[in-house]
Amino acid sequence: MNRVVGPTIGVALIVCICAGCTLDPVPVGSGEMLIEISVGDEWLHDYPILGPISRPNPPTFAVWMTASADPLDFVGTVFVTAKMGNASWIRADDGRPEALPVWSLARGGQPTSSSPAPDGVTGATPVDDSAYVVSWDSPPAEVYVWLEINHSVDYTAAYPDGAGPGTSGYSGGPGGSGQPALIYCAGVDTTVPGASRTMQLTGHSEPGDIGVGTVYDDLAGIDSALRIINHATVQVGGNE
Amino acid sequence: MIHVTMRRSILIVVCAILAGPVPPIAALELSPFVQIGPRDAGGGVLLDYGSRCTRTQTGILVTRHLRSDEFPVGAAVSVRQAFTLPSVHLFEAGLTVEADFFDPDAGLLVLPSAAADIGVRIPPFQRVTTFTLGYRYGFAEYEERHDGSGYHVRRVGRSTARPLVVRLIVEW
Repeated sequence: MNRVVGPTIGVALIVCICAGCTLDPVPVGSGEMLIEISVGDEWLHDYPILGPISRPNPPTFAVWMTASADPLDFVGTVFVTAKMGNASWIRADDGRPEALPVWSLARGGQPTSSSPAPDGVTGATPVDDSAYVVSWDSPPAEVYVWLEINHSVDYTAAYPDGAGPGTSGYSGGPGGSGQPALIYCAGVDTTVPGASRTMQLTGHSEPGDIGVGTVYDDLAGIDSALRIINHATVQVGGNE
Repeated sequence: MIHVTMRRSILIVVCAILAGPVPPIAALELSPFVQIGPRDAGGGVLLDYGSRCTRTQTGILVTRHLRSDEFPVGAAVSVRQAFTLPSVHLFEAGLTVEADFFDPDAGLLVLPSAAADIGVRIPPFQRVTTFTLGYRYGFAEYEERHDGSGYHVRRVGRSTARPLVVRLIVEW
């Protein structure tokens, strides 16, 4: 009897656990704003380790808010991945200026190990869809939400491995960016309950350096980076 | 008629999770180098109850998430069901379910997981020491808060883990 009951219970528990692997809708109340990022086919990018050995690597990204359609009109950071927020790069003591240049400029400079981003907005990179709920003491009428996202070493013919500083397609040198960071944006009227916007791809950041915050709308030469996310949305809480 | 001898024993188990993160507890950003090494480690006592063909091992493990600053220590309730072919009892196949409990700032976090493994009873300690190598899937839903200057952020997400698990089980 025990030979039957034991395995049956084990299998049943496994089935129950696996069946529960769905994320319930995130509750968002009146006066709150929900930002959701849905991962795309290229969310995990093969990062070379040694020779033919590689492993899936999630992207570096930051979500922040501005008071206008200017990505540098900074209000605050919603989330930034840990390596960027803590400047804990292994092979780059001085940080990776090409990783998220626009967000870095907007917040007043790239985080350093001695002056990292606040712990509360920094976290390990989600490996799946993620959600962020923002609320205010005094809600602004309009807010713009920005997403800057980048994979390391996702080289293409336009952004090749080995391109040197000052040459076309330079993306930060060894271990650098490859295709530059992409910028998505959505502006919402927070006074309209239930208002929802899909974040639109507005362009890419400076390829190989921090630059001056220019967002380039020419996406030529950018391929797999376009599929890092499936979509991202911003939704104001409350009923329409 | 086959007579099955039931036996009970206490097992000391040491386990390590290799080559796999448990995000957000220890998610990797691999740029620019991968970090290979033990992610989590744990140990504890299991009660073993079985016959020649099956063993049920139940107990509590203390776990340490080596790469986590936020939730470094937890406890796991573990149930492992092992199956053995009596003719080749050197090997066994195991199915494990665990619930891993942590107490981060945001409140209690539960990381349920399931694993499948292959165990080898190591000569010359056959029937005493079992080495297992398995594959684990786990997930957790989490929430963290940040109070900024005039605004507040609540992060909600689901983390999954698919690491390799190594266990050394010593029969006491």
